[in-house]
Amino acid sequence: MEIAILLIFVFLIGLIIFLLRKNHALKKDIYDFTHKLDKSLNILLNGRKLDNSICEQDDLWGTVYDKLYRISNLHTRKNQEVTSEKENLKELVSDISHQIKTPLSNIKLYLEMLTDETALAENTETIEKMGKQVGKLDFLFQSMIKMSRLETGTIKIQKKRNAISDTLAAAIGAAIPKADKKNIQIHVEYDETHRLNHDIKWTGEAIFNILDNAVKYTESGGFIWISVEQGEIFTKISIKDTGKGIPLERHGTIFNRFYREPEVHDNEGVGIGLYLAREIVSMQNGYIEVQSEVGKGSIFNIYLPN
Amino acid sequence: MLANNNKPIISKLAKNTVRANKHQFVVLFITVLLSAFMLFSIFTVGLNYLDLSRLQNTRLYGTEFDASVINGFTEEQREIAQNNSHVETVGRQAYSGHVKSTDSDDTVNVGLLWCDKAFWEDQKTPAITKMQGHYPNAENELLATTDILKECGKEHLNIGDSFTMTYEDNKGIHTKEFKLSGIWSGYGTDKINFYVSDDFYEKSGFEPEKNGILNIKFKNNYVLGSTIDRLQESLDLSSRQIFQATDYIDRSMTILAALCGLCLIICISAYLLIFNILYLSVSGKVRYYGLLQALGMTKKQLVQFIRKQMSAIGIAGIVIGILLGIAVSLGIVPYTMEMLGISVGNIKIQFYPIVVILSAFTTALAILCSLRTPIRAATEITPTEAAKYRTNNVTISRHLKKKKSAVVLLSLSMSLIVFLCLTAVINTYGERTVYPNYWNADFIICNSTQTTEDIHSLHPAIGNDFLSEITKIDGVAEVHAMRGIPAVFPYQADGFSDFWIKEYTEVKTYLSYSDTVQGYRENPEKYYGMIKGIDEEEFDYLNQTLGNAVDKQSFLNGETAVLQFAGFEIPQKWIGNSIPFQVESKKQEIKIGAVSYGDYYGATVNIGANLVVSDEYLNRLTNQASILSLNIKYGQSYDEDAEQKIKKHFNENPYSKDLFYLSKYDDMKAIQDSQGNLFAVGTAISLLLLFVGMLNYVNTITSSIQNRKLTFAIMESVGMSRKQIKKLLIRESILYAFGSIVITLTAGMGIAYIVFQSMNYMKVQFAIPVIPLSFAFLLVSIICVFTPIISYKKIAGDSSLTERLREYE
Amino acid sequence: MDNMIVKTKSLKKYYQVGCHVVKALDGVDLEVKEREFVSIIGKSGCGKSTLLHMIGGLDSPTEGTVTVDGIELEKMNHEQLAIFRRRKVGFIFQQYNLIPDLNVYDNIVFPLELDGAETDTAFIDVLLEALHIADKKISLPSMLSGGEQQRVAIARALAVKPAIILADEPTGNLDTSSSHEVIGLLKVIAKQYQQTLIVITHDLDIAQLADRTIQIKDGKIWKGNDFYVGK
Repeated sequence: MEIAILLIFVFLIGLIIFLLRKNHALKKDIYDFTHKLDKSLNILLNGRKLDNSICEQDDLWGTVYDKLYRISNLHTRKNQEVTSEKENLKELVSDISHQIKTPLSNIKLYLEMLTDETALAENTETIEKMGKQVGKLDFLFQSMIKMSRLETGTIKIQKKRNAISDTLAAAIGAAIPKADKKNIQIHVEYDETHRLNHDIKWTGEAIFNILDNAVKYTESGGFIWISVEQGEIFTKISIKDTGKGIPLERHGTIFNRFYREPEVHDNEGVGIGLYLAREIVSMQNGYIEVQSEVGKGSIFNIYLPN
Repeated sequence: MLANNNKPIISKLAKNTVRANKHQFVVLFITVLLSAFMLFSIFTVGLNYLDLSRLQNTRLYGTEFDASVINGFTEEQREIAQNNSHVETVGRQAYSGHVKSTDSDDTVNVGLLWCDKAFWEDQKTPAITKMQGHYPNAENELLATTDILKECGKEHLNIGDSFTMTYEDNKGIHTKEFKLSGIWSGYGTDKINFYVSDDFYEKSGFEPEKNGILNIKFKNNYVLGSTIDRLQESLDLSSRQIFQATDYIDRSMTILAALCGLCLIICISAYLLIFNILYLSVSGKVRYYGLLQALGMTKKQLVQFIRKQMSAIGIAGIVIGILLGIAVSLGIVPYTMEMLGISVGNIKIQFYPIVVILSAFTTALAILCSLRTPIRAATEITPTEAAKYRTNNVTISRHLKKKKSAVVLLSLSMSLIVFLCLTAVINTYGERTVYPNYWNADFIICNSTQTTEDIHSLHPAIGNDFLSEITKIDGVAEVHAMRGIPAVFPYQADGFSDFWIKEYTEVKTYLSYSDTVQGYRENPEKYYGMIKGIDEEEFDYLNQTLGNAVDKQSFLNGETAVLQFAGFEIPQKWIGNSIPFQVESKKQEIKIGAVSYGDYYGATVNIGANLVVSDEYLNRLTNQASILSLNIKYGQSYDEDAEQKIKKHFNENPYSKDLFYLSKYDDMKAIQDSQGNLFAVGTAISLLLLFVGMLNYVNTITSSIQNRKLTFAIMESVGMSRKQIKKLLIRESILYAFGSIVITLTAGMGIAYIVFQSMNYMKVQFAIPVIPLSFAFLLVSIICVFTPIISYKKIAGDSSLTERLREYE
Repeated sequence: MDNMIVKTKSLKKYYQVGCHVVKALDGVDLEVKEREFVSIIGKSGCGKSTLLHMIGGLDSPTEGTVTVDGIELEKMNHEQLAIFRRRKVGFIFQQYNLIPDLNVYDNIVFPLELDGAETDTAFIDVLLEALHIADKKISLPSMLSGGEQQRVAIARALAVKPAIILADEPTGNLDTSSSHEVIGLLKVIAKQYQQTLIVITHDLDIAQLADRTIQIKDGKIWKGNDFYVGK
């Protein structure tokens, strides 16, 4: 009996010592943790960057530090983004000014010619040419405005569940006059009832830009096929032409701002159509895929999430 | 370091894994449960058996002791025993006289005993249920039991009361007044004795060297036989002293060892099964474990994950197994004990908390050990395995295949071997423990018409007709009749008869030598002996037990006789001496060739010597000899028909009241009946072990077929028919069955033989338990063959070949 | 120099097969910018998977160094590599490699919970929504189609918001239209969460979705085809 009591006593003493020690260790751990946290927070507050995330210990501090490191990274990245946005805007302004230079100087030239020339017949021709330059300028400005608004995020994509047919109809309608001029046939194939969560105005713009490009690079008498296919996640709008195609190495670059096909400098356009199209699709969490072979035409697939 | 809270996902994963792999984990659970249950049951039954045997011993003898030296001891011997490192206490007990009468009863037959403090306080206490007063201190004090008081006609006496009694000690007869110092009740043969004080004993004239008993109690409850033997040797006993260890202490170690052996086997089979299942599951999940690591699980977490799966199953299995064990043993153990011949009566079945801890700990240990290798295998998997295509890693599986085949074969064989051992031991339990009759007779009939002092009391109760009838019975192979004639040994001072009567009076301490010799001289026929005649074959056996000490020819010629031991030592000087005796008043003489110590030839009640002579010599002496006993042997031991017929003849004999018989068959039956439950328990345990072995086999084969699903599909795609695949599987499984049976019949037989012999006290012939064994073999073969077929059917099922092929692509 | 999330320097990996040495990687110098989408193409057995395993800390190189997000992998032990994988890397395998015993949601949050981190349920819901598996949240992987399983695997890779997503033939088991969708989705989401994406593929059309394509031949980067596209 005494032995039992003694054993229980010893056990309890042991338990108490164990718990006290555990408590002490826990306290120490908490102080340690708080200390480290404080130090890191100070670094963050001072706007400095945290050291590389340590993946050394499978403990609470490791998990928390990893998060802090990400926050620090995010912070730096945000700063970088602001800087790069500024750069972008600067670049845009310089681009625009560069682009405007030509038509503007042309107009200036024509204006001089008009002032110098008195013959009316000559004037009409010059005015016509000037009108073209003004048109170009107008187009340029329209595009610039769209672009700058997209770029700076001043416009918001407004997604609504609408029939894709309406969007397509609007885009095709805008492209038909040019196509008719080049005697290009446009075949369209889609499900009338197919509805998609998208922004009608901007999506139409994107499709039109691609379509416009297709018309531009397709020889007279060519064909353009437009089809809509619904997949598991995305709806694919593909625009296939019988144009001259794009070499593989340019598949990525064609979507760059102010990209112009080297062979087609004389044609109208400033090289922002595809760029805009990609931006618009991206903003709707979609993407554009190009499949093309030189001489055989191209396919532009626009993927928009269902 | 503050730990992050990543335990829940591991618990969840473990839980889901257990749920998803129900089949395997149910098998694991059952294994753990059965192991815990079996361990608990075996320990409980075993320890209860041991404890109860000990208790029974204590109550039977009225003392808790392990060995005793009787017929006196010396102080030196007591010290030697006391100083032995294994001995706890040495108690002394001694005869101090007997009561002749009290003032209220003239014919009292009560002894007077003395014991020392060590005996009374340490060894006697467990057998005492009630004690009032104290052990006698003064010379005139007595300690009594209510039984003695009744015997003395003094049942109304209380402690402190006095009465007068007449008693005899070694110094004569005295009448004195005694006071009761205490009354006790309890167990033991000493209940009919008064206990006396040290002073009384010292004055009684008795000496511990002659009448003392030394009771030795060991420190441990389990002592090796060799320890007991060494103690006996160290005591350097004289020939009159007898050293006796109790049955309990003699057997405790063997039983304990057998228990531990059985438990070890259970643990090993549980270990093998758990090991195999987990190892298989690890090897089948190489990619899975690789994936877990690729996703960022550390090896530590992986180990935690595997442990967690097993710990839930393990804890549940152990707890439920032990609970089941408690329920069953509380119900079954008392019944078993009763069947084992240990009177339960007021004995409570012990519930040992240590057994719970022990069985839980042992099972847990087996689980932990079996986890080690699978865990190591799992941690050796690299995360790149996650990117590999197929589950089967060729190098691993080939290595594993060998290992797991071996494990399965081992586990199967082990189950069979345990089954074999248990059935071999249990089947012959009755035969092994039956105490053999003289010359291993199946049936002995004895003439018991004789009385002690009447030389003419012997009647020919077994006639020659009866003898010939018995001989004619079918199944009776041999009948050896022992005939006898009473003989008178005339008194010779310093001669054989004087020696005989002197020793006789020493054994019967209440007889005085001088009175008895007086009586002998007057009526020597009252102290008659017997001349017993045996045939040649019986002599051959007898002489063999004597170490061939007697010359056969001289025995047959009637020149030599064998003297029967009568409870006292016969000095060497009488061997070779001629002894005179009278048969039918004619003087005869015969030389003593040897002393026989068996009791077969001493079974008659005469006081005088028994001389065993040859049949021929007896016939020469007289034609009046009667048959004393018949030693009957059957062609087949335990032949029931012959047994019945003999008993019928026996009962029809007009003298049947004056005859008695000893039947080996009856003895065996009696023991076997009392062991009925032991048989059931043993069979249940061996069947459970067989079940565990089969589980292991079934599980391994099922998962191996699961793993080879693709192989079979490919085989089928190149034109092997399902029938052919089944044939292949059957061939494989027959190999397992055959292999395990071969191992059992070879190695297993050897083990069973050793086990059997270690428990074989009665030198019974080792017999293979053919029927249960063939049943087990049949069962194993059936399960071996059908498991792969059924599991193949299950995986192949209705799914088309292409489906099965594609599952892996 | 800065913004290079992955850098390997003369990376070599040799295997001993039988008595001869197989050079899975033989000196690879690769740099991947933050938020870049790189596709790796090459014949089977060219070492592209090995390269990916090295970057993901699944395997250790024979020679050379791998630095991911400023962490030098060869300096870490098994334990640290495991932690590295769960925090920094999202792996997508060809076999999907979902944990069969856990439902979709638990599969996705598995690496998070291994780290004991608080689960951002709202983010997981957004992911499920974006991957169109929101209604499959409590299904077991075995009840899903291949495409759906792969999307769950993608969600799992994204759940920790890892700095880098490594995909080894993520569309190997899918049909053409599904595979285009899956890669597109990966691309869209990686862009959304500003993650670096390295994809191994044998499909040139898929490779073209990347900002940059690298070709590996005989354990080396085939310089001729290392061209920059993208922004």
